[in-house]
Order: sequence, then C-alpha cells, then structure tokens
Amino acid sequence: MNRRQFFAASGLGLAAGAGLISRAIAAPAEPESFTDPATRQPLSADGRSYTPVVTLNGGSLPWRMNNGVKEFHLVAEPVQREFAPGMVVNCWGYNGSSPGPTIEVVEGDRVRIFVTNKLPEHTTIHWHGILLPSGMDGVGGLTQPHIPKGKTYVYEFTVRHSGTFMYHPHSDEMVQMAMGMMGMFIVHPRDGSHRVDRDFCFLLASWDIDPGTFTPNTAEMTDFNMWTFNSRVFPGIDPLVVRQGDRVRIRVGNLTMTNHPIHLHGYTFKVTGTDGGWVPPSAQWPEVTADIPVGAMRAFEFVADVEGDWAFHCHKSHHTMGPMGHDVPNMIGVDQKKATPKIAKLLPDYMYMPMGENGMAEMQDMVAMGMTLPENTLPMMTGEGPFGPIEMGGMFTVLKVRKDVAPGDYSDPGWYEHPEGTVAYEYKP
Amino acid sequence: MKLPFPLAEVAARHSKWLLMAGTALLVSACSATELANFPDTNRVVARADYLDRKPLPALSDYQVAAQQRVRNLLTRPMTVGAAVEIAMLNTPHLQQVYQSQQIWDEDLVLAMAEAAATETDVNHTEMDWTAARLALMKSVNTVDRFDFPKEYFDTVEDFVEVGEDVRKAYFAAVAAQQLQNMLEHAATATQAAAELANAQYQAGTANRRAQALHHMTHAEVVKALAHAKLEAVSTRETLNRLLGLWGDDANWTAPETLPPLPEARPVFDGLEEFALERRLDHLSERKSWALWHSAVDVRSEVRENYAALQIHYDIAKYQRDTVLPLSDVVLGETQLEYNGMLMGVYDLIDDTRGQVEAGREYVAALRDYWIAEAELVQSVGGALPN
Ligand SMILES: [Cu+2]
Repeated sequence: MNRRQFFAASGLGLAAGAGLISRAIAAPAEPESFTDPATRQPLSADGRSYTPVVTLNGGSLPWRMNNGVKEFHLVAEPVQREFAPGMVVNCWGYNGSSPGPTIEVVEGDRVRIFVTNKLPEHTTIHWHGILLPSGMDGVGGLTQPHIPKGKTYVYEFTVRHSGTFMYHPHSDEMVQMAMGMMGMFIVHPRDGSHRVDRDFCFLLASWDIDPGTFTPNTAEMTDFNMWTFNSRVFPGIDPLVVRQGDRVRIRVGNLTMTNHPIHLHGYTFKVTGTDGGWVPPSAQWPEVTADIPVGAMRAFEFVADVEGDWAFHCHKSHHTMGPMGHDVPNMIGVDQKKATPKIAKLLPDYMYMPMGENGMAEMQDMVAMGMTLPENTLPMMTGEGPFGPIEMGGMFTVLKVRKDVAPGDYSDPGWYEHPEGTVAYEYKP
Repeated sequence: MKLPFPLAEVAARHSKWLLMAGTALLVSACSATELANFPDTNRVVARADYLDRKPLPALSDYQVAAQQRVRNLLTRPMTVGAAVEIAMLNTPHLQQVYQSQQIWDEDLVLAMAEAAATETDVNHTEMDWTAARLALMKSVNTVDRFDFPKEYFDTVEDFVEVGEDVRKAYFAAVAAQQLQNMLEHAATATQAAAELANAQYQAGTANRRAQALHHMTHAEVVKALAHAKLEAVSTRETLNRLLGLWGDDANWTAPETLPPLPEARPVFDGLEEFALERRLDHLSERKSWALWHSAVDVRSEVRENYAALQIHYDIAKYQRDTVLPLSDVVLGETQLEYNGMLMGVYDLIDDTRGQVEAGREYVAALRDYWIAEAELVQSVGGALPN
C-alpha cells in the first residue's frame, strides 16, 4: 500500500491536509499475532530504566520506531481463545487474542497506534487513564467518528505520566467488552523510579457462556458464569513465578461489572498504584486483599521473601469456580435414598447418582469417574495439586516463590517441596 | 387374480340380473359388475352346489364350535385378526344372518378358522370379507329369499362395518393400555420429585411452598393416570361388546404395543375408481337415480380418508424419527449438565417426563394411523389395492 492509498484507506487524508497531524506517516507494520495462550517472556530489560511487564497468558506488543515515534499496530478482530484446556471461546479481541497484547511505553514517549478494524461492526479504542488530547480519547461519536469495519485509524499522543492503564472499545461498548476486547497499557517512569524485579499484569473479565455453547451472551448484566484473569480460568492461568527475595508488583484491571477482592496468601502487600498514577507512600497501608472496583486498576507490591506455593485469587468464592448451575436445588443434608431407585429405574441407560447431600466436592469424583459434561464446558471445580484435588476454577492461580529461580526465568518450577515437618498433618494419638 | 371383493363369486351367479337391470350408463360406469370381472364362475357354482347338499346342522353346534374357537383365540395376546374373527363369530347381528341363511353350523366356524390360518399379514386381516363370502356362498340355496341385490348388499355391508368397528376399537384399546403404562413412568418420576421435596423440606433446604408445588405436579399426573386407566377400561369394554365377550372371556390379554408403523408411506393410485367399483352402498344406490350423488360422496370420502391415512403416517413417522430423537438429545444433554451440577435433579425428572410424553404422543399417532387405515379400508369397499 502506498502512502496515498493508506491515506484514502484510513480517512486521514483530510486531517493531514488540515495540517493537524502533518507528518508523513508510513504504512503500519504487519501486526504481530498473539494466538498462543502461553505467557510470553517479557521484553528484554537490557538498557532500559524499567523492568518490562509479564502479561499473564499473553505478552507485550512490539513497536517500530519511526522518527522518534513508537508505532504500534492493533487489529480488532474476532479471535478464538482457549479459557483452559477443554474450552475454546469465540471472542473478539486484538491481534489474535483476548485480551489484546499489552502496550508498554515510557513516560514522555510519543506514540502512534494504528487501529485496523476487522470486526463485523465499527469500533474505537479508548485509552483508559491515559492523559491525552480530547480527540485521541477514543469515544465513538463524542471525540471521533466510529472506525468503520475495514478501516484503519491512527491515534497519536505523547504519554505524560507513568502508571497502570488499559485500553478497550468505546463503541458498542457493552457487546465489545463482553466479547473480550481489552488490553493493558503500561507506562513506565522515565527516571527509573518504582522499579521492581518482577512486574505482572492482567485484566479481570466476566462472561456469560451457557454450558455447551462457544460464544458469550453479551446481553448479560449480572448472571455471569465465567470469571477470568486475562481471558483464562484455572487451571489454564499460568502461575506467577518469582525468585525468593524479589520485589514483585502485580497490576490488576477490572473490566467486569462487579468488584473483585483479589487476595494473596503468604504476604502482606501495599497498593502502590491506581489507574490515576502512583499512590504516595503516606497513603499506603498493608493488606492481604485488594478490592478492585469496577473500571479501575490497582498495582500492589511486596517482597517475596518466603518460599512456597501461595494461592492467589479473587475472594468471591463463586469467582473461583467454573460454570455452575445457579438454579440447582439445595441438596445439602437431603436424604435422597427413597427417590434414587425410582429415578435410576426411569433412566436405565444413565448412571444416575444423587448429588449434593454431602456438599459439592463429590462432583470432582464424578468427573474423575468419567461422567461427561456438555461439550466445551469446564467442570465447576477442578485442578489436581500435589495433595489432591484443588477444587477451583475461574479467578485462581498460584504465586510460586523459589530460591533457585534464575533472574528472568518465568517457567513453572513445579509444585513446592516443603521442608520436613512444615506441612499440616493428621493427628494420630 | 385375487378378488378382495368377496361378493364377486356370489354376484357372478346373479350377473344375469345385473346385466338386465343395468342401463347402459350403469354398466359402463362400473366395470366390476361385468361378467368378465367375475372369473371362476363355474368353480364357484360347482362348489356352491356341493355345499347346498349338506344337511342343516342344529343351532347348538354352531354355538359350541364358535365358543371353542373363541376360547382358543383368547389364549394368546389378542391380535386384530383374532378380534375380527371373534366378532364375525359372536356378533349377534351377524349370527342372525347365519341363522336366517341356515348356515348356522360348525363348518362355518371351521371354514373361518381355516381362512384365518392362511392370512399372512396379521395387521391387514380380511376376516370380515372371509366371513361375508362364506356366509353368502353357503346360503346360495336361499339366496332367492334376499331382496336382491339391495338386501344382499346391505348384509355384506354389515360385515364390513362390524370389521371396521372392531379394528378401530382394537387399536384404541391396545393404545389406551400402552398409554396408561407409559404414564405410570411419568407418575414414578413425579413421585420421586415429591419424595425429594419431602426430604428437602425435612433437611431445611426447601420451604413448604416448594414442597407443595412438587406434590401438586405429582397430583396432576396421578389424576391424568386415573383418566388414562378410565380410557383403557372404556376402550377395552367397547371392544368386548363388539366381540360379545363376558365373564372370564373378557379377561384377554392385549399385546404390549401396537403394530409398528409400516416401513413405506402408503401410496395408492386410482383409489377413487377402485372404491367406486367396490363400494356396496354405492352399488346398491345404482338401483336408484341417486347414483351420481353417491359417486361424488364416495370419491370425496376416499380422498379424505386417503389423505388422513398419509397425514397420520407422516405425523407418526415424524414423531418417531424426529421428535423422539430430539427428546433423547434434550434428556442426554440434561444428564451431562446434571453431571456438572449445572442442572438439578428436578430438571432431570422433568426431561424424563418430556421423553415419556414424546413417546406417548408417538403411541397416539400410531393409533391414529391404524384407525385411519381401518377407515380407509372401509371407505374403499373392504380392502386396499395390492
Ligand atoms: Cu471476583
């Protein structure tokens, strides 16, 4: 595509002609694709004043330098995302993935972001929390025309402050966000301040995907059944691997319609940043659960000085479950002996088992016994740990702190080997 | 050539009258009455002459033989063929015909049993035609006492009507019993749900309202089951009356299921003309000037009953091949969701009932098909073309 064609395609000819953005703009680079749900290595830290972030089950978008401007290319498009082995979801996202790749820049950078719309409808991108000219804010109809399908728009601004931000559509917003369109936007301080050894980031999303279906129901407001970290659920969420003694930052953004008390075992931490920027030390306090409000971001920090496998999850217990029936009868303590033979007789080809009398943990046993679920549906509780079933799903993963992890190594070290005498044990008189 | 029209043999002997009485219009309108269409006339006459020479039996012989034959038929689950044969033997009105024609003997019973033994398709019995044929052939020496042909036609029409009534009553009775049995599964399902609701209430996980609602659901099915029993009794007794059965004889066993739906959709060409050749009431109307009107009615009736047969076939096939598998899919998916605790046990019970209902609808559709066939058979004059 030559420049003239590009201008025609992007609709920028007029703006350029008006002299508002008059620099010559080369065609955008080929967009990098992020279809593999494995966590990518962070960008190289060599020669940088900051530690590049690790995007859980994702990665950062490479850029191209063009006359001192960092150029990124995002392609809004339908994608397929594996939530965990056994479930693939028809999402909308960016560059082959939901969430889209993380954009990582440095305070003061001039950035130019090409946005190509390959969705079946128009879109925009709003740069949530970034301070920029009103016309770059990405609110369809209000600050710019919606980007028609098939067109490429350019956003260009200078990043004025560092912190934890995100991007998402502001155009048929309910549908596009319910379909998974979102990404992290990380701005590192230019002066090397707030530097940590490991810097993780991810976004919270909620989904309504009926058992046996593949595409989210976007008209849902409250009754969601899938709760994700970066469009992944346990056991599909990678562990946060940390070297003992590292200073660790975890950045979390919430694009669901409810708050999430994100809880870390084993440590106290302090919230050091919001989507408004850094929190002054005088305003920080120690805690173990950071509530992430709707449409907000939190960054919290701690020193990982104790080895172990530490659970890290939302503290709303139904958010750490796979899909569950919300209308199932409450069978706790209900003696089903009398009815069971009748039901079993009515269903001779089905291995009917009464459920729920003693709690729901038996469901795992049923799945283990080979009881099948509807297609593309994950069990409500799953995951096998070194001591047995973990009985989790949704927003749950593990912080793995080890002393023998090499700097820059994020590969899963396996289960923690506890020192002798440090594991809870059965009392034997 | 097989003539399902049993009167052919008898009518042949009166062909002279038919030829004389028929105007040109009448003769050309119905080729069935032409001499050429009544083959084997000589054989029929010869056989009839032979039969004529037999002495008349005592009345009680017939009754003894018929009762013995009926009892014999009742030892096995009732078939539609057996039902029609019993009706031919036991229906008071037909017995009067035998008596008045002086064929009230055990040979008639034996001849019918022999004819029944040669029937190959139990669902397409021609026992009524057999009986009519036998009755009229044996009565050849008294045929002069018929007000021929009006009374003659009417008499045979009686056989055909009894046959139709019995077929319809038989399929209704077998279906009603099957429908009742299937509804008992639904009652088991709602009973299980009510018992679970009791256990839930006792455990404190359901309130009295929820408990009562499950019992209401069960009560509805219990009432429906009572009505189904009533229907089974009523249809069975209708058949018993047609068959003249009482006492221990009335305790016959029905087969567990209706005959299956035939493989192929029934298709017949030229059914209206076929009927016009064979309809007895139509033939008897020929004596009057009501012929044209009668033919219009016959044609319309045949079209209606033929369409009904095909549509009932289509409904039954659709229910069996499409709706039943769909209910299987629904129940199968519910089971998968139950496995994942995504749906509860009451959903499982509800969808089990849904499957039972789909099955009951199939039985009803199959019953309607067989009844439609009985009606079509009657409206084309006794038997369907081959
Ligand atoms: Cu949550």
